[in-house]
Amino acid sequence: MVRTVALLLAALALGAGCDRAPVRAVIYYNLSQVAASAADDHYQQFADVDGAVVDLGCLVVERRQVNCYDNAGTGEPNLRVAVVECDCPCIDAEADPCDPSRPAVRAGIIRGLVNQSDGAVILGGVDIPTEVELSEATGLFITREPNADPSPQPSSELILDGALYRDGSVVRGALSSPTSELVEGNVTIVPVRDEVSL
Amino acid sequence: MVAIAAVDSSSAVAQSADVVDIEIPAVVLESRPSQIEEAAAEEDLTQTVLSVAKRVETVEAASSIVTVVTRDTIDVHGYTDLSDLLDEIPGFEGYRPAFYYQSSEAFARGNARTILVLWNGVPINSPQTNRRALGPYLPINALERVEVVSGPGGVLWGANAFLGIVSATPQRELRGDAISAVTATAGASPRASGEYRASAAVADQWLRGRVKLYANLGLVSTRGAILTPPYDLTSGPFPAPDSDGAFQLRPSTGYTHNARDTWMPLTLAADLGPLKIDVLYPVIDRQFREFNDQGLRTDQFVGQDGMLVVGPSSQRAESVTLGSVQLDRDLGKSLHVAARAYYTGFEDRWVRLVKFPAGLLGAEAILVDETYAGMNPYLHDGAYRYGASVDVTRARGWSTTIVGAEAYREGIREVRRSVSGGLAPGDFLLIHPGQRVVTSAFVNEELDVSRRLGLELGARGQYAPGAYAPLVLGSAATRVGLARNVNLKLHAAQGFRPPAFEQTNGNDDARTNPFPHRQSNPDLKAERSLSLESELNARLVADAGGLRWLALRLGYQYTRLDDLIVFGATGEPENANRRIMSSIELRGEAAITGGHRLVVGYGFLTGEDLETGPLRNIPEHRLAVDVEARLARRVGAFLGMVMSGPVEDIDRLPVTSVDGSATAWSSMVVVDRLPASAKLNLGVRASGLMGGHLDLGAYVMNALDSQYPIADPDFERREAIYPMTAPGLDARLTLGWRM
Repeated sequence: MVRTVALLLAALALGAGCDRAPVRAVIYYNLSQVAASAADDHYQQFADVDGAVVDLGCLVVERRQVNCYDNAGTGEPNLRVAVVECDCPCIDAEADPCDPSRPAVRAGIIRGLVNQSDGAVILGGVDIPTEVELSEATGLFITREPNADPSPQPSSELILDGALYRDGSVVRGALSSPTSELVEGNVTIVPVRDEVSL
Repeated sequence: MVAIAAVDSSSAVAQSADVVDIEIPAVVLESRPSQIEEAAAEEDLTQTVLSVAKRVETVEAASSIVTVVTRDTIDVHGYTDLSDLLDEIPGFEGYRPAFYYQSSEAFARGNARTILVLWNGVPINSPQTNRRALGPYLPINALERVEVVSGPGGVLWGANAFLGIVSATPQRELRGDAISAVTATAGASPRASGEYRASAAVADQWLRGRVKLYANLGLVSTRGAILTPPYDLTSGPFPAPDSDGAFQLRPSTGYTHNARDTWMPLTLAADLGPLKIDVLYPVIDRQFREFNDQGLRTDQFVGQDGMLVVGPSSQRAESVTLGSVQLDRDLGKSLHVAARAYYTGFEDRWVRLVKFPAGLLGAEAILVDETYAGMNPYLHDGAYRYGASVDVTRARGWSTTIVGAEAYREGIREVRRSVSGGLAPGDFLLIHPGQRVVTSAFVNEELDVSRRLGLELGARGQYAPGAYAPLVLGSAATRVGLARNVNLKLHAAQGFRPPAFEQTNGNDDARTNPFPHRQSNPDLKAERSLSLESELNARLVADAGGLRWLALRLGYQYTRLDDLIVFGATGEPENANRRIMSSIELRGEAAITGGHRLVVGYGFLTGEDLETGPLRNIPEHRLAVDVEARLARRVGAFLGMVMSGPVEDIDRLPVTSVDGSATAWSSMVVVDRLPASAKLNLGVRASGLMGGHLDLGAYVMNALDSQYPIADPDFERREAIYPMTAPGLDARLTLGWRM
């Protein structure tokens, strides 16, 4: 009996140690004036972590019906400037999930919207979970990448760039364009870490 | 019908080994009120007979983790509703308001909408939302006792017994052989401004007690909490496609200015021989939201012509209507049958829900009402459930078998939203009507192999054709007597939460529903829970010195939630998430000579969400310490403290403009670290004064007036700019008269 109880307790303890979450941080953006991606390019995010450049994945910006009920009340979809997370180099297309009869869209997950007004309401905001630990990141930049570019390294076409700094539990930064373009943004990275444990 | 009196230790010990009494599906405890009154402070919770396992057994022998709260504890602690009560029980958190107090949630093991609420055995969670608000619609004054089960109970109780059960048993007679009683409570405090409560009860019995009637009419009227929000909300993010949008804010105009909320619940309990009849009916249910903008009272709004209008603005209804008939029969010495038919109706809607900000939907300022189409205004049945169940228990020596079957129909009426004013007034369809027939059967076998070893196995099948996939659940438990009065329990249990109608039947056609909303998904599956629990319980001391007894239970729980519904990137709900929790629950209770009692409850909880990581908004530590002292024969005092560990709350940092208004962008995320908090409650109660007629009570809740911050129900939502603050001190006087 004692052995049985011990085995059951051991099974409980083992079970408790399984299944950890893969997400290590959530990146929150507000992006303004970011242009829609051309069919042959995409955006790619990078972070500076401990002096190394870390790939945070690719994005495209395209006008999408981000929620299939979202239309003008006439059946015509409301198309909004959406940020779609996609697998680099983002060459795959898929049927529009809201209406397959429409032109195909870039394959990926809609993560939010580029800032835009809708009457009195300001739409916008992007959140992207990542498996990369970013609590020590010191910089973040976004490049425009040709779809045909096989290199995982960032291209020279820098769209947004900014230094990151620790602000309490989060890492924060303002992103600006190195050129005279109006594009700008803010980013906050929230590490997936419980900091109030005793 | 088995009447169970306040059980003394000896009889309960005997019961743990030899099952003798059976009560299905929910025990109605009957005892001579005067006995309870005298013995209140000496009731050993480890020995109290409970009903949640659909059979009579002791707390220490029950496979689940059970806490029993008696009428005396409710009186001495001065609980105003079930939220207060849950707050002091390990593994639970009773009250956490969402942003701007528009709704509140109770938590079990760190998760909201996980508690099945039973009213004398009848489930009263709405199929529209799966939740049951624990407000004044469930009058705590009418309750005899409350049993709280930590962990899933799906095999015996079916839907929504996901991570906990709150089983409320209404009174069936008054104390001290009274036939009528009135109570009145008044208070003045920031927590419950201008609040007064009253109830009137009558009870009598005829034909040597074979016919009984108990009726209680309650009244709660309050202006709610006085709060000082830092900003008035002009507009906030709406659901997708705007789930990440900005908050528009203006400087606060001061403290909240609430319209008066009023509830009047009617409770009836009648015994007609073997028949038990229960009724719960909300005569009045009028609740306004806690906040309005522009410094307006919450029943005021500015019309399109700019004139102030006073009317039913932003009024909420969350009531429940219940009617139940239960038949209990002993068929021979070992066979017992309990059959029940019931109807429950639910309201969960807004009247004059939103005054949309100028510009949205092309309107200047519009008001909307939500209604259930075709609803009889005198019946609160926007959502409903009716059905019947039969449980048969066979107890033979060392074996007790319970076999049960249930069939019910539940559904929701069409929910419509009418818009008055603006450029596009009209009538819009929010939720399609829907219904489902659910059938289920279960069997539970308990074997007392020896005095030291008990085994329990259970299985349930649930079938809802056309609604959600068939479910099979199981449970297993063993109890090992390690020594005299020391038990080790191991328990594996499952539960499920069916898809709520609001998530399966929403109208996603923008031509008939232009309002921003989350999408629905008719193909949702039931969410599943699994708990592996161990518990060591012991009565450590009995009659040693000044200590009458000391009881302790300590348990570890591993809990896994599968197929959790989350909203995908396009706003569509999907069964795609998992949460895992590890927790420890401890409860110690000491009875001291002279009628004093000390209760310590502690809960540790850590958890991980597959999508969002640790459950950062849930305190890892919660400690409740209660001291009940008998100051004189008829005077009891209570001192309690609930301490909650630090948590984190994800919010937004408003950026102020030159004109004082502010915008809170979605990227301006801050993780607020909320410090540990403590709430001190005090109470003094004298009962049976003036020949047994008069009861007096004085209570001060949150006596230190702690305005501690409260994290949002969900860490990842970012639907708030700041954590809400607790509304502070609450002082009340209560007076009761029995005749």
